Amino acid sequence: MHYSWRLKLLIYIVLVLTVLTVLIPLVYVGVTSLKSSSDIFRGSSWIPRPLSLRSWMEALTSLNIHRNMLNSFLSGFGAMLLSLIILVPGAYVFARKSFPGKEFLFYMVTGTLLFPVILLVVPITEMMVQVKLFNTYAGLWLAFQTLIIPFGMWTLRGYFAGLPMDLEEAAMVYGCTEFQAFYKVILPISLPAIIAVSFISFLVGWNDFEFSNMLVTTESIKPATVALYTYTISGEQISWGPLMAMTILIGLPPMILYMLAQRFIQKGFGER
Amino acid sequence: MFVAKPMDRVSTAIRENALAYGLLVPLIAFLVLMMWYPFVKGIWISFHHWPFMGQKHNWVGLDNYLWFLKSGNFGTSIVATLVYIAGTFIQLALAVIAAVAVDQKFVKGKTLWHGIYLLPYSMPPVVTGVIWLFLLDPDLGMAQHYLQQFSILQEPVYWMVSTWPARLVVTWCLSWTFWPFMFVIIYAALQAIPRSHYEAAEIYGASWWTTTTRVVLPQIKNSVLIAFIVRLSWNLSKISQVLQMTQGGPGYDTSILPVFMYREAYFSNNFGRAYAIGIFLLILVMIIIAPMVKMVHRAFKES
Amino acid sequence: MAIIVENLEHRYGSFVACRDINFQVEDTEILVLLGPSGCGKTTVLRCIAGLEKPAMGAVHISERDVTAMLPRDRQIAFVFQNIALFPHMTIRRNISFGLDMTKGLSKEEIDRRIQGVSGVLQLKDHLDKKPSQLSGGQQQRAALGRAMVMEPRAFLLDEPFASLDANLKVEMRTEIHKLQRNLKKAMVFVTHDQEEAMVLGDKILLMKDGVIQQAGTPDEIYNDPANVFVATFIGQPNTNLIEGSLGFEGKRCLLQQGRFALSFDAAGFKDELRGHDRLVVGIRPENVLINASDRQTCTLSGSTGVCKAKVHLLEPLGSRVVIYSAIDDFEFRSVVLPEHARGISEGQEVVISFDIERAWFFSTEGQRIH
Repeated sequence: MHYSWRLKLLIYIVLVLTVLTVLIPLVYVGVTSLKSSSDIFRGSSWIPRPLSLRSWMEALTSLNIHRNMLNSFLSGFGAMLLSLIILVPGAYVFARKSFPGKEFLFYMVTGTLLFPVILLVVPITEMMVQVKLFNTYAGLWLAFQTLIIPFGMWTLRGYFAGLPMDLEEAAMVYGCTEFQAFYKVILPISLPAIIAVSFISFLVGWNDFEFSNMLVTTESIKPATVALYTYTISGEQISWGPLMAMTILIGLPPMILYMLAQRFIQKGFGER
Repeated sequence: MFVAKPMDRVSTAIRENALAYGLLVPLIAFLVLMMWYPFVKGIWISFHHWPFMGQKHNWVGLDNYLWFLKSGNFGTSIVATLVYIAGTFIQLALAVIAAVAVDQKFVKGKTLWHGIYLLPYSMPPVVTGVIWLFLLDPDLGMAQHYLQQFSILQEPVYWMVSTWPARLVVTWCLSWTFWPFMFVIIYAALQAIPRSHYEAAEIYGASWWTTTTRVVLPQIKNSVLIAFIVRLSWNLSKISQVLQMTQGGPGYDTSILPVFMYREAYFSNNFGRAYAIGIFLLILVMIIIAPMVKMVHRAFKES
Repeated sequence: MAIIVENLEHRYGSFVACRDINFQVEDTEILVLLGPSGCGKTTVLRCIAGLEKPAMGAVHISERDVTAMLPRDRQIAFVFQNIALFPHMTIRRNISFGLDMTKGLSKEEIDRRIQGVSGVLQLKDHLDKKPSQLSGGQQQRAALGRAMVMEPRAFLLDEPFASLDANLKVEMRTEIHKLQRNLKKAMVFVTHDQEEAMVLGDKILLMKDGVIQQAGTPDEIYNDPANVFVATFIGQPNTNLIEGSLGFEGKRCLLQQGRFALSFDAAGFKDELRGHDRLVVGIRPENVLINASDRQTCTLSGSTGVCKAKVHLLEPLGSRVVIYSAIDDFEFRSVVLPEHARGISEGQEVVISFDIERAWFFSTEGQRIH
């Protein structure tokens, strides 16, 4: 394909503009977190004068942020484990087995993908209260599944479907039952894809607000996203510096995990 | 002649597909417990006056639905929702443009571009809400500062208290955060197009524009539709940014349907009304995505 | 008898993949299931293996009725078209996979078998590599190894060489042939390549549309086809088919179409020809003679009685030359030795005659009459 220099320039402009739109806010946040409070009030500048770590100190020591982040981690991690139990066998069956009722079930599962899940916040909260899972990690783990499973099924089913059929048949000819073929052959090969999906599942939990806010009122379970939200609408004068530091604290881990997950996705899905 | 009785057929089917059904148990349990049952229970709730943690639940029939329709804020909420939805279309346009750009053969470091573009989506929406709350602050925010510097704005806009600026701000924040989702899907679809298609187009003398519009884009049509449908539905479940930035205000001007619903549930503790509003949301979503789903379904049947 | 298949029928929904399949395979032989794509040959193989459940019929392996048994209980080995080695395991573990699943085998026994098999298949240096590090041919040999160590009662192979390049194919064919002779175990081999079938098969089952068209030795299939399909599927270039109306001229029969008339002596089979007013004659290219002056089996009305055809293509294939010629609507393929093709060029007219003794007579439905 012949690319005129004009076209190349245009493409690069598009790419760079997009990068700037993404990065400039993030960089500015980082810069702000290193400013002193008077510097922040002075207005926009890109270089902190003086360079101050005060915001970071405040963020790290006040407002219980460690506890909140630990809560975020626990709620995400448990949700991830639970989701694997549902997703891995489920996606496998959908991708590689036929059985009566499959089409019906397929439409149901696809439907969950298109359903505005936030609608379920109300009844699920009511349910959690009734079974005494309100204000518990377990309640969050269960609720998060509504966010994780649809996309996880979509992704993992696609992956399993792409594996060659002969692998299981070969395993079965050489001594495995259907189930043994699944865990001795299919699972080991699928490890990168499963890891990628686990990362995403965890992050759905870490990043969530809607369910976490409704289902948790006690500080001891409150995840970081809810804590951050509460602070911003608390009505008190916001210290922007520490707030920026907190956003980095809370936002950086998922960024990194997402990057790692993408790497596994390339490995897991690119192999086909 | 021995004819198998219906029950026999069922038990044979179960036995033959034992592994499949067994492995599906967690999924089916999830569907029933966390999706179907809550959905139905919600409808039950919507026919009651249902205060959260309250003792008495009175049957009110369709009152909750009628209340919402008759409240003066129904129209505002719908308008705000439509603006939000329009934002999704803009996200789509940007996602397609960016995906096509990164996909071009001469672009190096594709993984890097891809990775950077993913950043806004990877963070909790609460975090990106805070970021833009700061950046768009009329007094301290960098965005308004520069806009005034370049004379695009004459004076700071206090968007928190004016209708349309608030809607724009909220839609902007949503778009900035969630456009990478469609980008990733569309980019993957572009990458799946075999090189030979481009080479064939080149041999037959097609220009870049012709190739892109006649060869490339039609092939990703399905992925684009699917990505859009899913994103639209999910966007209408993301409310943390609206709540942080405007709390649904001024008044109810940025209370898109899910936000309205959440306000009723969380702040007014009125679960019955909240779910009723949610049903309106469901109907709106279904109306908008129905034609698109039909298109995708037809495309799948053909292949 | 190593394998017996009775009345096998398999369906996908309402589509009948195969039916009325009956055959037997002995320990000492290679049976080839041959046919075009979609003819059902792979389905039959998979039913023998237990990878598909037949709608009707029975499969016996080594005197046992295995029709209801799972693949792993049938003691057969299956070699897949797509090789299907487990990518995350070393070659050694791939080969020993089935053995590791078997109870009652000592580690020494397993190692002994692996050593034996990898020696025969020249894989000794590759045992600790992963499949992706091996070439296509080596991978297929490893898949064979995985089958062989099981010491199965029979080998089932599904187009195992389809993805290999031409020279490798020929090499592997010979190896498989030698292997089978050494192991003295029944082998059922599926292929769409008729050359492969003719080379490997002690017995060939030619299938089309789910039904066996003919079962026999390569010689029988080649020289004694049961119908038009068999006659044209086997042999390169394809058998010539001449269709025309049947008439009688004294003691001889005449097949006419347009200007062209083929005359032959139907002494032995006049009765069989009764009732057919149209006939199809099949004759192999090597029996279509060019410029052979001593035969005269066909005439062209309007000319001096000699059949002249116009050559429109010559294909030199090294040991022989294929001549494509035509008379009116008829196209003839003829195979001659290079020296007989000298002097013949495209556009020329040549004399065509037919070795009728070697021709076959089919009804217009395709069934062989004589």
